[in-house]
Amino acid sequence: MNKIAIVSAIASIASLVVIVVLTRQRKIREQYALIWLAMGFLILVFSLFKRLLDLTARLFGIYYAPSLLIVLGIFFGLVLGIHLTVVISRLAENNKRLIQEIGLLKNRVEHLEKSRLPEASGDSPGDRCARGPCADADRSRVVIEGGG
Amino acid sequence: MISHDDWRGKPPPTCSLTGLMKVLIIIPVHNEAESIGPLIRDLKREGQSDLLVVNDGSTDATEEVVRRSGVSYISLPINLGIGGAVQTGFRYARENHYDMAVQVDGDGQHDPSYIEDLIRPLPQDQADVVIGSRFVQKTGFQSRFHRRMGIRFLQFVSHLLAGRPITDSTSGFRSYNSKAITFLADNYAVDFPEPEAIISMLKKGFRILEVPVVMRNREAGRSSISGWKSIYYLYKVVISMVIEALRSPHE
Repeated sequence: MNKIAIVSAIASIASLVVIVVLTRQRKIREQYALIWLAMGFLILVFSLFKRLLDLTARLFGIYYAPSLLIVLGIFFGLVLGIHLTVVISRLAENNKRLIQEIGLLKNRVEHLEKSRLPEASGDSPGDRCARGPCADADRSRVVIEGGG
Repeated sequence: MISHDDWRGKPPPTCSLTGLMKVLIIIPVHNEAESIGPLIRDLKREGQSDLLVVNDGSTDATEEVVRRSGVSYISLPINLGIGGAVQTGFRYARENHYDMAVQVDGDGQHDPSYIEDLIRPLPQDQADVVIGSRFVQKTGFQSRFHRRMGIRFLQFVSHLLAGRPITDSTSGFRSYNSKAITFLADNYAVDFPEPEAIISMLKKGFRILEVPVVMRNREAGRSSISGWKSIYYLYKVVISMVIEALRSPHE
């Protein structure tokens, strides 16, 4: 075992420990830790078994074996980046839904509050129903809920 | 709230227009404190009683102006983009069982007197979506040269992808029936949604009709799309139209 193998083995073990600790502290969700753990394990295996690295490099037609590690690193970076974009897009969609829902709920609450107040000022629900079928549904619904 | 006394004694004007069908006017606004007041006045004068202003995280006095005007409004706590605001309106329309919805932009470009033309084909079941187009008859505010080139290019792309010509695919002045409202309440892009919505709706089999309208120049404020942003706009819109065209209609 040469020096670089020891150094990279230690580095990958250290990063694995960091991931596990962060997951244990619930700073990373398990589902997102999986991809990091897989990456750490792979690097650890390659640094411990140099022959495996040489063999795999030759399989891909790479003459200088350590450059396989660089290729792998870039590949994982890309996969991780795409994965995070997917996660962010999902969060953004959820976020949009929540913002819209809050707006709709605020509107409803204001209607409900208003429908309580006018009763005191003599605007009875019967008066509103006289407005006929064209009075918008929201208003009539509020009347039903407010009166009930 | 709409003043009760305005209504008393006479039926709401929408009754005479489309029978018992309920029409919601969706007005997305973002920092339009100056133009929203006159617009609400014009809409009420046109006999539109069900107005819903969707305030998309304005930082100026817009919310205060709308509140004082008494019309229904939804205030989004965070700015979503015009598509997100209009979609909130679709959700409101769906929840409250409206038969039709009309989008009227809050900057005053859309002349309320055309709303009647815009919703007339819907109860007659001639279309599911009606787009108010500036280019069916070339009248009124036609925007500047480079913008016209962009619109021409979008016409070409949407013709290519949709398989039929849509003259004004960027126009947001549109009316929808309840079927279209239900679909768009769940499927509408956050920013620059108009051109890709055409593709997605055509793919779903919705019938789109264009009617001529005249648009006015902005009463106040500036277009949200200018300079570098217009390049981003074109890029984003074209890509999302292509992706929409690639999507399976069953999704």
